[in-house]
Amino acid sequence: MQTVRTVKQSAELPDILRELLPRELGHAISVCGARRIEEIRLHKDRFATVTCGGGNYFTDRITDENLLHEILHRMCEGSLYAHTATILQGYLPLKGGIRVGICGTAALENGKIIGVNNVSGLIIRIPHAIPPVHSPIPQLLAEQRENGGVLLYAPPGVGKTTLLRMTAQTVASGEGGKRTVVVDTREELGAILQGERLTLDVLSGYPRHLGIEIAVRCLGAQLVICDEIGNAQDANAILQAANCGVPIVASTHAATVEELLRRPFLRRLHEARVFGAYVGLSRNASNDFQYRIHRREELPYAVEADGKPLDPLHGRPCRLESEPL
Amino acid sequence: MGSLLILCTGALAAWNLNLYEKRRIRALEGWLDLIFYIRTRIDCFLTPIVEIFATADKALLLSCMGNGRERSPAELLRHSRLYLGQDAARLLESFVGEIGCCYREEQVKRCDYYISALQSLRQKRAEALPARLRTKTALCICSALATVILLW
Repeated sequence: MQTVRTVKQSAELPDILRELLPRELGHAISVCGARRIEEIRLHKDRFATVTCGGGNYFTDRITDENLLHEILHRMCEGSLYAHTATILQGYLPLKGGIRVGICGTAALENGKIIGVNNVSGLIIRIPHAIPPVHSPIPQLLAEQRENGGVLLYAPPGVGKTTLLRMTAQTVASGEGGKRTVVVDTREELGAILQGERLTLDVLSGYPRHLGIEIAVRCLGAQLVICDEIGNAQDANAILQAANCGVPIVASTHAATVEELLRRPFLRRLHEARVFGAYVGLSRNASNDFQYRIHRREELPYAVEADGKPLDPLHGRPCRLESEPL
Repeated sequence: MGSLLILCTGALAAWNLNLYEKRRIRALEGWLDLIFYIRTRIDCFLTPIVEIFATADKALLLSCMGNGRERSPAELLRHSRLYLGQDAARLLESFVGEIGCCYREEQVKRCDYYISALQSLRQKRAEALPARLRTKTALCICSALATVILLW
């Protein structure tokens, strides 16, 4: 359960938000009591709130519809059309890895979203600046011999992107660093990656499946890192990359490994032995990262009692290639 | 000598008014080119409007009767308003107000609308130009002559 605290402390707003948000709102956010801002939530006709360490802090400013539109217009640099693709997917990337989730009324055509009207909420996610104590992923990658990918799972907001970012920085550092390609679909993963001695390329804004394909075919990647996988196209691209001998480090939403394997596309990747290890991420009471590591061999494969492999997409036994049509 | 001077002033005024009339059409043509350029940048590259202006050719902005250093369509409209006339200015005000507020397809369609509206406006002005030039020239020369006769 989330808590609402009212203790007044000051928090630092990133420069870009200081420019984009109205001064009064920025000030209200700074003095609302949150120390390290993780999220700023602006809703139509409600008090703006700040999320920090799992708690919500209310500011004393109410945001109305006009203000939300004005802020969105500024965030789009006065050019809504330039961000159509991401807005239709529900978010808007800003500089510095900041991501703005957009709530509103969807305009549909043939079941596809063609526009978002009546914007009623902007959820601004600020990338976590705290480094995790220790990332097990580089070590796991070093241990793997074949198909040594790692899948990181956690519910939203725990720190998957932070950990992936740190992994990219570690794995691609120095002389022995792997040629790493970060497929940064939502433009928040590669934002803070810096360093003069990094063997790292960032594909910003590319759809995941295309980015993975480009990383493998054109950029000579030894390791591909991507965030929030979870559909058939992603699974196909990851499978292709793994079959080309390029390990993948990815993240996805799930609280437990059982939940993870219940998702058809992830189960398909599991059955194809794409990932050598699964890392569950959580935080303890003092907000430190905790890891649960499952090796591939420890987990069951999805098979029926007669030994036939399950159709990973539909949960039915799938037709083997040698069977007649 | 004085009469000659007055006649020369009349001719100069006529020449200036003719130049202004031609510039009114050139400003419309400039805006047409600019909107077409903006449309292409939006349709093909989804370039934000600030960037479109930052990378636009100076000659393009000058052809809209701007100073070539404008950073936004609103600024350019302010600078070129003198040459636009009421109808074109109203149309372009609406364009400037709408730019950046729509999604891509809608924005491209809006650009198409403004292009066609400005084209018809330009055509009307081009058709009326010879008559307007004749009228203004005649008016200036006649005024100069009348002044000379009155002062004789």
